[in-house]
Amino acid sequence: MSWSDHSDLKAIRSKINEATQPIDFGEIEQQKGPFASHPPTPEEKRTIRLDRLNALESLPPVEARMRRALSPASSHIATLGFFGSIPGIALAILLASTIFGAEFQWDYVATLALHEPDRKRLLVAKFLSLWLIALAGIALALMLSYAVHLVVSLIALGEALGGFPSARSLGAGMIRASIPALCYSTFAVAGVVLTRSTLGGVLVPGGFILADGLVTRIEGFIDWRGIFPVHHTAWILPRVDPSLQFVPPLWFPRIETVLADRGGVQVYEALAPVEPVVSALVLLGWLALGVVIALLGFRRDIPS
Amino acid sequence: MTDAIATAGLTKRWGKAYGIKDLTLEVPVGSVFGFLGANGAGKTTTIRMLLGLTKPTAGRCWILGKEVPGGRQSVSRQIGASLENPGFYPGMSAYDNLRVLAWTARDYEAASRIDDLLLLLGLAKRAADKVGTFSFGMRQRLALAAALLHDPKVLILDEPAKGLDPEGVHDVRRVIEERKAEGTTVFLSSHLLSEIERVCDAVAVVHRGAVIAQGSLSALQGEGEVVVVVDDSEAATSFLQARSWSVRRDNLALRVGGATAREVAAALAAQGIVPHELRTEARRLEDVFLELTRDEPDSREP
Repeated sequence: MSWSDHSDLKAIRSKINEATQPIDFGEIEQQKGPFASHPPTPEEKRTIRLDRLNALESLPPVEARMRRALSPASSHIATLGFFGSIPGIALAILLASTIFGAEFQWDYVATLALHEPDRKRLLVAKFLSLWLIALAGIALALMLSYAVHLVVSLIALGEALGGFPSARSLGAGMIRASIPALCYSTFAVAGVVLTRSTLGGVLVPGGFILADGLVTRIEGFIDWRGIFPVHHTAWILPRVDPSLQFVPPLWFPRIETVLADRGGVQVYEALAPVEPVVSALVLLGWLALGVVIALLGFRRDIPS
Repeated sequence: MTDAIATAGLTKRWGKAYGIKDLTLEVPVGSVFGFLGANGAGKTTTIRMLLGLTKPTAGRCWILGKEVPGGRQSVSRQIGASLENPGFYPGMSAYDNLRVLAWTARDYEAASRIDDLLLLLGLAKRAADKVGTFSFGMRQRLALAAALLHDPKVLILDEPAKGLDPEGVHDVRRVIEERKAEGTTVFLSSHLLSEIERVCDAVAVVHRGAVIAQGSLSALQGEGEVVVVVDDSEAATSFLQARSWSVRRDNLALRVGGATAREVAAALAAQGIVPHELRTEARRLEDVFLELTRDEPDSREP
């Protein structure tokens, strides 16, 4: 079974567009009574849109929502999103630091260096094998996710909604999902090489991400988001519309508005979204920097 | 002929502390060279510098005429080495560990030697077992197999007998002797002075980061001592000491230094003393080593 996420997503998007047309609050108040506040709260607006969407699908709300969440397109995007999410990045860092850190822990790096004295070649080979493992892991996770969605839809709805994506959809999705995973696993390797320990491989990139996430939220440092990786991790992967999600995601938050001081009055200012290509280039730049740092660190003495 | 291994002014310093200071070594091609020293003397640091794992603070070293670490790539397959605490993938079998190392060195022919090497080192029956289940001694044997993987011309072994049972020590000695017969240069660091004495042609003694003696084993051991067993050892002692020879008691025997067996025999005969036993014995390496490395009491580290 194969599907095209483009046509599937197109149909869903068209429904969402219809459901998110400007709301005539007066008309709704006439039907359901007055709102508690004017204008209605964002939550009330969201409920109105969801009701519209459900009405368009002529299904009970819960089933309509479940169908949207289990649709192949949304499951595809939700699974890809995991690799740019906080747990996805944490997993990449943990796996990379464990795999590479163990070689220092077992003194295996010295054994390898006896047989291949060219440290640069040794580390590049390590990176290539690590990235291959990461790519294989992403492909496996995607396939597993499609299978799970298929089974869950069969159990929950009595109908197989899932399926497997076309090679093109899978390839395009994998490229976007793999860039953050490879970037942060490279940070983990650099952390291991610099500290010669598995723990360092977790703490160095973890501390960096934390610092990036915190500092770029401080007014005056907001523009740094353009060069640091966390913000771009939030933008590189496609996101499912909140109305298509069944459980809250753990993605890195996208900063689309920022609090600014305008003559003593604090206002929220909209920020432009970032193109995925730009985010990919920034993350690849960080990946390259991670490789260079690891290569420089690996030139030092190999401890006994 | 170029030395198989040579160093000039090799120095490693961490802050103000010296690991090795101004070390100059010459290891002739085809020799078995013992590198002796107490714990912390700098043996492992020297070996790691020779193998390019540790960068020297100053000085240079060469293996097979190529300066290392820069030129090591060109002679890497001609150098086999095992470290004091060898590391392997614990989740992989002994055979697979060796195969990975052969591939790492891009020495694809080496894979065909793995079975023979495992047999040679007594690991053939455990070839398919995970290295994580191996004892330290078995890992030492595997490390020696890995060192021999590329059929090297120079073998650098750091404590290869550490953790081995007597049979294992015997196997290591046999391997070294076989390689020596094939013309391989062996650079051997070991605490087992009796083993060094049995297999080495030349030795260097390193103490507190500096070489304090270097040369052939026979030159280092000197002329040796005359061991003599007599009935009245007290009378014989004072008589022999009167001739300015050093005499010390060793159970029933007297050990006489500074004289040949002929001189001692003649002196005893002149006194009418007939020895039960009289022989020349080379000084044991252990005695030489202890003598060389003995510190003055007030200069010892706490």
